[in-house]
Amino acid sequence: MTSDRELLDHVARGEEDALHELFRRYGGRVGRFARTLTGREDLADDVVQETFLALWNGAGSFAGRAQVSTWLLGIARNQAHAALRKEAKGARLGSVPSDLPDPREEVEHEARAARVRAALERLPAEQREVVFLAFYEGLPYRDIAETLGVPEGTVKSRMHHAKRKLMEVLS
Amino acid sequence: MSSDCELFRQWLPWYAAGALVDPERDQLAAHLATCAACREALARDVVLVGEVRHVLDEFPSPREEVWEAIRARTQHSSLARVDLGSFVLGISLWLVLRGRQLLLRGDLRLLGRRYPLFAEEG
Repeated sequence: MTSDRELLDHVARGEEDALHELFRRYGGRVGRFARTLTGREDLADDVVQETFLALWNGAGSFAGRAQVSTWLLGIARNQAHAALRKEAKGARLGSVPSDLPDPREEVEHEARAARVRAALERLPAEQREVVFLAFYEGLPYRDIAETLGVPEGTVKSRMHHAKRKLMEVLS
Repeated sequence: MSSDCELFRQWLPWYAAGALVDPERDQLAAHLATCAACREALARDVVLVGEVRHVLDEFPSPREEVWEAIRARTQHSSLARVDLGSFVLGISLWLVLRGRQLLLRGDLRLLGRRYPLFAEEG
């Protein structure tokens, strides 16, 4: 199987099939990250699109320090923040976290999943992205710090606060 | 909770997610072997990680339309493009500017399948 790095080289040479293969490999992860950060599926689709276009235009600038997937998530993060800034300026209505569901109306585990989803959406974006990168992507805190461009202590502190809020809602 | 526990608990969420690396992983594992309170805290983190993953797994992958939109925009970024033929047999050629290089890209289409041309040029 062609490695991510080789595919990126092909993308840098303008080969669309290589971009499609990277989309197949990472579109889902980028989409879930974008959905986590923006809280909306329509915005997440926009972010995925902009992320892979940024990859198309900037594949030649990949420095090779991180894995391609981590680099891609870094691009997605920037695109998500750009989309949210655009939203805040009134291009579309802002994201509104959903209300906590009524447990009586749902089967228990569905209700609990909905509570986790709502609790995640209520976290500040900078905490949400740390939770996603650690819990879903399984990235060590040093890699998260590098991806986000913040000190390691900040990553641990964001996780601490995020975890406390999630535990409060779920306990 | 001892000051040791305070330090180790910062690492628990990463340990629970399988994202703690050595030497911290080994140090935490040694501490967990002797500290029941931290083991309990770890158990809560493991549950939390599982629940968050479950929720995130349910977020749908991007639809095929998203790829089609990306594709349309990458081709739109070409300087010039020529398409000849039909669904049965066709050829597309386009010029792309990559940095300071002007590249000729193209593909051959046969019964709806696309075969890239010039794939090894750079």
